[in-house]
Amino acid sequence: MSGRGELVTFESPLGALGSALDGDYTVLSTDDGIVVRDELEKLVCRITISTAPGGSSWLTVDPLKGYGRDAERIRRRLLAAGFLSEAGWKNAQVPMVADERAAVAVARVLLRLLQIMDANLPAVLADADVEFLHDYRVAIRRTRSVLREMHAVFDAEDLKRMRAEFKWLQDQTSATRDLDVYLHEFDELRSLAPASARADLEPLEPLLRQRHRLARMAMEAALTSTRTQGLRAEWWEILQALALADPGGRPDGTRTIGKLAAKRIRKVHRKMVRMGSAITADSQPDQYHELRKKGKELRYLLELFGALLFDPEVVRPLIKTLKGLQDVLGLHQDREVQIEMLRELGHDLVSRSGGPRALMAIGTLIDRLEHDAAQARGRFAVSFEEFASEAQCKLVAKAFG
Amino acid sequence: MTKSKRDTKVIATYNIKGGVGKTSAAVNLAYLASQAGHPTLLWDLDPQAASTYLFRIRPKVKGGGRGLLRKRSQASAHVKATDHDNLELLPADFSYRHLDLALDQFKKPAARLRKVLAPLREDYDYIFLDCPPSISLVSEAVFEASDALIVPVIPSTLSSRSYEQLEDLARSGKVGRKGKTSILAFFSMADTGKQLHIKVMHRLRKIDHLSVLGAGIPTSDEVEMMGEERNPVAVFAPESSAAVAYAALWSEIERRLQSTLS
Repeated sequence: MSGRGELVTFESPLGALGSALDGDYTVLSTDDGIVVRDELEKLVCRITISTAPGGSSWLTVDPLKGYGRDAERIRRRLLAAGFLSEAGWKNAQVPMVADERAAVAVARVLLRLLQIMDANLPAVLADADVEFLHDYRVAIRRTRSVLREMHAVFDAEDLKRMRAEFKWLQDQTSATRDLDVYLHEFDELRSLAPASARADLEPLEPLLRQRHRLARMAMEAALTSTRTQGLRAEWWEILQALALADPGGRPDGTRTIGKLAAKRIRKVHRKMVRMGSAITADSQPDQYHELRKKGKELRYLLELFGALLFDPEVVRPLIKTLKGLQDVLGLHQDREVQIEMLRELGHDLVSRSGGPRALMAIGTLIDRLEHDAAQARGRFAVSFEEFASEAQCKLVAKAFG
Repeated sequence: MTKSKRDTKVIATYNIKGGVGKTSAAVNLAYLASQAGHPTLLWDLDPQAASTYLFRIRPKVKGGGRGLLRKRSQASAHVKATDHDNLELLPADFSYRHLDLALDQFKKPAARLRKVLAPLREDYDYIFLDCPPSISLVSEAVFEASDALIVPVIPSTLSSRSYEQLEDLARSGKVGRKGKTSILAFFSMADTGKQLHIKVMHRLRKIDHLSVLGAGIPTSDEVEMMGEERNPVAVFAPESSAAVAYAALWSEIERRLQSTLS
């Protein structure tokens, strides 16, 4: 969605960049910013380091055309030098072993996710790049997913309150994210309409921008509120206590993460197979959506726990087939959401200049989007069959047995 | 800008003789076009790879010239950005020395280059071709593909003869698409201190004043320095007589092209 790079934590990055790339590349600070030259002294990429008020810094490597390979090499070198913090901020995995206490492993994963939220929040508030909000939301969604799937390790009261609070937090960011995506995809969306109707869709964009502004204001107020600050503080306390608590007095004191994760993965997989099998050509969009949500849960379980604890020969292909299924469901859901948004915008459009023409253009666009959604439904059966095949189910039962 | 709207002009710097300032012209003119805001591509067709060297780019095209002609891969996949905004390069490759043979395998060899360039037209306002010195199938294909041939002529007897030869070819319809390719000569490495240069310039302008441009490039240290600086003259010596002369030359070429095409 954008060229934003990874968050970095270096205080004086220029020298560190230079030594990380020493030997093959020269790093120079110029009027145009930081540039990297190869051994022929050819400019191969530009590096931008931006800092949002509040402290988050991020680094973007922009290759010149034809120098993608060099840029990739440079990225890898920076990564190896501990410079780019891809391993730091994108990846939510924490090392774990199958026979450690479940509560401790879960607490560590959740603390990691909290760290990611903390790192992204300043840049979200500074409106530095839409991807910060995306990463922030992914961390919240993963947190909610872990809360739901690993509920056994939490105190019932804490669990209930935190689930409600994180749902609230995510809700505060949804409208802005949706509108980020609509605005980003506006040109693509418009190109889906018949050529004759495209110009008529013009009044839509200012309307979307206006809504986006309002949504952002509301989101910023929520994210800087005492409620959000209180949630963060309390959550941190709960996770610390969970990680440090004496296992002796707890009913789940001896439960290991290997067992708990295996049980949850099996269960969610089984549930998905059941939900998917019930879907027919006449099913409502909701049913696809619910299956997609379950699919996200399974994916997070596999990524945050499964990939670290179980046979990669099983986990990797499982994630792959799941991803294939989720892509189809995702396209279906995107189109459904776009259709709903367009219908809803219609009410506001009527009174605007060019409104009636825009409404008619929206009608033709909706036809096209419905066609796309129907096609995605058509592809669903094939993707689902691969995901839910008997062989796959047996493999899951064996690997997570 | 959409495909149909872009009026891309293909300009080749060409001379049968080598060492007359073709590459310097291609590099400097392409740079000037790009700095005026026109997305510009320079294709270094010369296996000696001088333009490629001047932009500090490796003279390597995966699949070589043959691969490009066969359109196995889109030419744009091999394009490299130079250090200058709006200016990109399709590098030379040592295999270009066999480009004649590669072209010969096609039914219409002369039209092949034009075909390879077709998809690139969507991305650029100007495409410069820096050609190897020779008369060959490659030059025929270049003539066929170009809207203008820019011919540097050193105002000495021998060098000017090659230009007269080219003129003859053009008159007999053997160069370029009939009536569609302008042949524009300019004096290169001109030394007004030399009687011979003045004499030859005078003679050539009289033969065909329509094709010899008014602006010329004087002999200059700065042009020679390009190899050392590895940059267009305007980058490292913007005030020099050579930089000014290239600017004048470019504005004249642009004007000519506009009047021809309109």
